[in-house]
Amino acid sequence: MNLIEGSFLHPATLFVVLGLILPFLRGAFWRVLLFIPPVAAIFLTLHMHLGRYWELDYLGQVLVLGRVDALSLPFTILFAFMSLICTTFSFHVRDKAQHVAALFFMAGAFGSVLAGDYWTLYIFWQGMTVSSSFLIWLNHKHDASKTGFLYMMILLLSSVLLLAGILLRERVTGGFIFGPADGNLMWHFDWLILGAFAINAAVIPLHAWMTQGLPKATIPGAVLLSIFGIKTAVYAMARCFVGLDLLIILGVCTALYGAGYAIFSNNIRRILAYLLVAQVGLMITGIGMDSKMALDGAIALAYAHTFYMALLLMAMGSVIYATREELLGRLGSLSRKLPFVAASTLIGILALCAVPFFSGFKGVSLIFEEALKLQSPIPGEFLVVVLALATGLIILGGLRLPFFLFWSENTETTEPLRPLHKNMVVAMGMAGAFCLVQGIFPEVLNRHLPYPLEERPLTLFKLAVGFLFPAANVLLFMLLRPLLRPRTKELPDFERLYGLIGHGIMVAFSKPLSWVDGIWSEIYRTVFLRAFYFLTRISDFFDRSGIDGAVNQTAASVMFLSRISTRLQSSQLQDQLAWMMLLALAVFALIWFW
Amino acid sequence: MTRNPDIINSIRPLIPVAVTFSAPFLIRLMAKKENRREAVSFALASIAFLAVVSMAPGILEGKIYTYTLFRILPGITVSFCADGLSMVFALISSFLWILTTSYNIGYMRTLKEHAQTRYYICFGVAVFGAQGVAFAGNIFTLYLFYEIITLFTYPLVAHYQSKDAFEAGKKYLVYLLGTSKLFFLPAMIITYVLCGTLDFQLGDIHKGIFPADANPVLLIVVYILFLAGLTKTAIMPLHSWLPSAMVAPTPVSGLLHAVAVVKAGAFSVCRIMLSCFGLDSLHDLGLGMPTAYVAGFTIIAAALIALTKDDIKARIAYSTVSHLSYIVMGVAMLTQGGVEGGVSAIAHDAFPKITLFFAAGCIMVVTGSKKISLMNGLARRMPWTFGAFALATLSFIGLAPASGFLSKFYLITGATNAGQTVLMLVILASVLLNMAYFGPIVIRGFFMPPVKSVDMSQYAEAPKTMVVPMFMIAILSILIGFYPQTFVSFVEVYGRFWR
Repeated sequence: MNLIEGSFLHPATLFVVLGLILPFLRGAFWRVLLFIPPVAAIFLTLHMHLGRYWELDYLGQVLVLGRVDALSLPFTILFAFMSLICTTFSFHVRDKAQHVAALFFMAGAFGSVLAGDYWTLYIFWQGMTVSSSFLIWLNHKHDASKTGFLYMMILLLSSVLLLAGILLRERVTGGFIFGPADGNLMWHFDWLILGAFAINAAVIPLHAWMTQGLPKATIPGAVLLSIFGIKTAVYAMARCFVGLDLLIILGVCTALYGAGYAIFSNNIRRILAYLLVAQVGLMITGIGMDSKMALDGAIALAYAHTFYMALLLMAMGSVIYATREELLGRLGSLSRKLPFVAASTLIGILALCAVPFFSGFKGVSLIFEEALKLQSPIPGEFLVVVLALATGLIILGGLRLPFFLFWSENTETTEPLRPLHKNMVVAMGMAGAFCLVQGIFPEVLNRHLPYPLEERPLTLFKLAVGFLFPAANVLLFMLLRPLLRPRTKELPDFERLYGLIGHGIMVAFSKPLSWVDGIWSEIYRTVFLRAFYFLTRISDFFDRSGIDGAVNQTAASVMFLSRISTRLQSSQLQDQLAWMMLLALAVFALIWFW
Repeated sequence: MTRNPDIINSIRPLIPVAVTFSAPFLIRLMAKKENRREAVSFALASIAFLAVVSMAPGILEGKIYTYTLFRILPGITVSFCADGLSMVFALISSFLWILTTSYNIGYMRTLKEHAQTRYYICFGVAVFGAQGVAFAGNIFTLYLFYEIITLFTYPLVAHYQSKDAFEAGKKYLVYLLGTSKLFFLPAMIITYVLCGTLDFQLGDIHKGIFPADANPVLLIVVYILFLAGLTKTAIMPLHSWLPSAMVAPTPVSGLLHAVAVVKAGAFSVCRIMLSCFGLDSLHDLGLGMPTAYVAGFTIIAAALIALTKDDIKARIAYSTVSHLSYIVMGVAMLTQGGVEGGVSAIAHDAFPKITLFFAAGCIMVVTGSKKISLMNGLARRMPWTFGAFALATLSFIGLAPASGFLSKFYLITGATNAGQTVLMLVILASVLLNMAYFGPIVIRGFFMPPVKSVDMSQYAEAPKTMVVPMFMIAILSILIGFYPQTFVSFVEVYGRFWR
């Protein structure tokens, strides 16, 4: 709202306000209100000027809620558009709780990206953790609640690491500025912060919360998770750890690992989750390379990826919505029944496979070009080979999904399909249109990249590679098709390990401690209380035989004395006189001899 | 003792104590008329709270009010003082009494409890004891009121008069009275012999009251005796009375075991450590870190035990054991952040904690069950109760800006300032454990399908007299986060941190 120069309205505000009042609204009109925040956010972000806004004093620190700069602005704009698409996609949902969770989640994403200091980041980061867990829980299935719990524990670990990193960092640097760390001199707190970001960016081996949680989320929830959660973490990485060598290795491993798993997954949203992990791996590789171009590539990929991944997840969500089925093995030949969804999926997959003139191409080609120039830690040629392998796997995994879903004959469902809501179709159309526009008119995107992009002509060589590589993969896919058939079981992944750790803590610490605690209570009963009673009995005995005895003895001796004195007092005058004389003599003697 | 110019002789600290003192008598007079009886509780609670609040401006300016009621021996008096530390405890104990009264009415009347007048009288005396502890001006007065709390909460713990209740009550008395007689009393006597006075060092948390030439070994012994004597803090291994005391009616568990009783213990520990020993002498004796580590162990161990409990009140009870040690650990760090975090945690953790107990009580009233494993899907019938429970949980996992976040923030700052990475890890791990043992209750309630053996349709939300105060406290626990200075400013005044 830059109607007045310098004024600024944080886009998250509207989301939070609506999220707070939504539970109390009655009637049917509230669903229309859902469009206000996204539309306002698009307007606000497109009119944002660079600068620092909304500096608050909290707990003795200055919170910078609105830092608009070259890196945060593109993400903010991206999020604004995505929030509109997501809202459109979930418009038919009548469960208010889902909308409230979504609103807070989106607010958290805006807040994190615009955060100028670590405190603000932490506050919104944790807000995202909580609200995103609700997106899973609200699926109201038994395993969804369990998965959601695991999901939340791991993301909470991320925010706890972030908190620790922030506070330790403050001790050394004396500040909370959310800015780049020195890639050559990583402090302990930098590692903690990196760990937090890595969890949220689903870097292996910390990715399983995502691949496990995403398929369990609600249909619109999965779209939201893939967009806002992951992208915020990628943004944070790009903000702080550009040029960190480790990221290249982590990124490549993540890409390979994710793509490999995508090929063998069965749940259609889980396939996408692994593809998402793989693509984030590519982005992180780009961030790890210390070059402007590679960072541009990573952000271009993140930008494009957001749209096509959202498109794919919406398409898969629509499939699940229509068929009530989410296993690839039980679906098939849907191209006739769901032509629009099939078309959307194809656009998304083509973009995912980085085919020229589709949106994924730009970012991937930039990352490849820069990878070739790299000297350390991995020689460029080797890195390119590994990246090509990962990309090849991504393409295989990407092709497998629409092929079996839409064109294979292995269907078991004969039930009539549930018709899709119009808003779902519209949302997919919007995302598809964005994908196409980005691919064909890349300058629309380039405008918002962090640095002015030097023009790189689209050489014939790049085009040839761009087309031939996916084409070769298509051939490969056709050859390997029998191997890539949907399996009945999912491969075990790190979530087993997480569960094992949880159980391990329970078995190794909780149970024994609880046992010791029980024993301790028992000791109280058997030892302390007995000792207490024993003491009571001793004092009782002492009281009777000691104190009572003493009292009795005193009484007895008094009696004895008085008996003697009675005997002495015979009431005879001469006796009295005699006693007096004796007493007087004794007294005189005493005085005499003193 | 040198007199600080800010120390003002005034009867003001006596007012809330006197007001709460009159409550049990008035309640007894109104015994036959239920509504009037409860009205008395309300009115006096409000007056007491206002009396406490009225002192706030003066105290925030750095004044300390003292008042001596009578003298028993030279150096031993029954005297009262109001400083920043007293205010933190007095404010929450008097304020939460108002809301608890409302909750009490709903709980006791819904369950048609017996001996309600006895219950209210003992409740009133316990709050009187809490006020007395808060405003105690010396160790002797502190001891006096500390024992009053113990004695008068015994009938509350044993309220149901069942075998279990008597057993728990016995344990309660043996632990609390036994240790205070066995440890606290000798510690007090040695202190008197060493210092010739039992008055707290007011207006300075560094100096302490012990003479500089006192035998350090003796001081360490006195310190350990004091800590062991204040069993209400439930530091392991002297914690096991607390989970047993959960047989008491829920509002009792709520107010007394989340606010008045245990916090009186924690408050007394703060008092002894800060106003009696002083940071400097604790530092010189090397007592800070060992205490902090014992407290840290308690935090983690109790949280781990809480994971295994299926009884909701037992689970909350162990979490109380865990959270109480935040206070001790914070103060034992002997740094500004630690003291701020520890002392303000008395207030910051009280709000979400009492919310948890109240929610557990609502569930008890409605379902008669305490088993967590039977609560699947219950939130759909009792959304407000579970909503409050969820808010309190969010507060405990440090969701900014809830009150639980504040206590964690200050404690972690204190730990990093003291250079204690282990203590920081303890707090962070406890955040995760908080989620691990509270999270499933919320998730079960809201998102899991009901257990087949339980018929959910028979349940409905608890009475308004219970739900409204509970939800108010839950909201307050979030709002406090927006005004983080509310309690911390008192601690800053108390510690003279701004100088």
